[in-house]
Amino acid sequence: MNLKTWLSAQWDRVLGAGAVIIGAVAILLGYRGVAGTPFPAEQIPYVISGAVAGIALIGIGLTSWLSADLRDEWRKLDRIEHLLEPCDAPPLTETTA
Amino acid sequence: MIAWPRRGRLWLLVGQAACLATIVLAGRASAERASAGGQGVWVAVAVAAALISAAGNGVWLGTLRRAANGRRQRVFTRLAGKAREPHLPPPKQAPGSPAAAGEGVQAVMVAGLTLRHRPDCPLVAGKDVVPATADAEPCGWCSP
Repeated sequence: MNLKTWLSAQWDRVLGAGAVIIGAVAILLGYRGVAGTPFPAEQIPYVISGAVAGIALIGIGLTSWLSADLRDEWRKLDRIEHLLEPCDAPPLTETTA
Repeated sequence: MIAWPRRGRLWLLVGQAACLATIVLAGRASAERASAGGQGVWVAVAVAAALISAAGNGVWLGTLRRAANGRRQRVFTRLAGKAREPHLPPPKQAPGSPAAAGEGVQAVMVAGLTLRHRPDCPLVAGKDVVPATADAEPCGWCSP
């Protein structure tokens, strides 16, 4: 499986991991910004665009990852149902066997 | 086959993008205020947007979980129904054949598990199988 195929199949995990990483980076940058100034009026914008945005991004990323896990389970259930389908015909009886 | 639930996914994406945009705009707007007192409202706006985003994520995951649980229950019900179905007796073997002698040459089992199956049993399809041992219990589905 090449990279393009893998990315198209796992786009929600890629999105999830990317959002978590960007969120963590935003929190770190926000922390650095807050630590760099003693004035609350200069710290609050870093808190909003660093911490709050970072937490929201991490939440979105985790949701996307969990959604991908549930979608994988859905596909496995698809395969099981596909295996069951030939068996759904009426069972053979002694007279028809 | 039941389709993977996609209904509402567009609204989720739009809502999450709107929440993120609101947080970013609130950060920019608060940077233009000179006093911490005037920034309070933007902090509240940003926190509210983050909470709405979290609620949207929770609703979406709850929807998916409910759908997956329903699907799982449906598949398990079908599997249980198949396992309880009566099966035909095995074909009569010619006297003296290995199967008639009870040697069970056709039965297989998945390595490390305890049930023996017919080789064409769907429960062993695609798995690495080994010849069944004498003490293996018969599969309730294929009745080897």
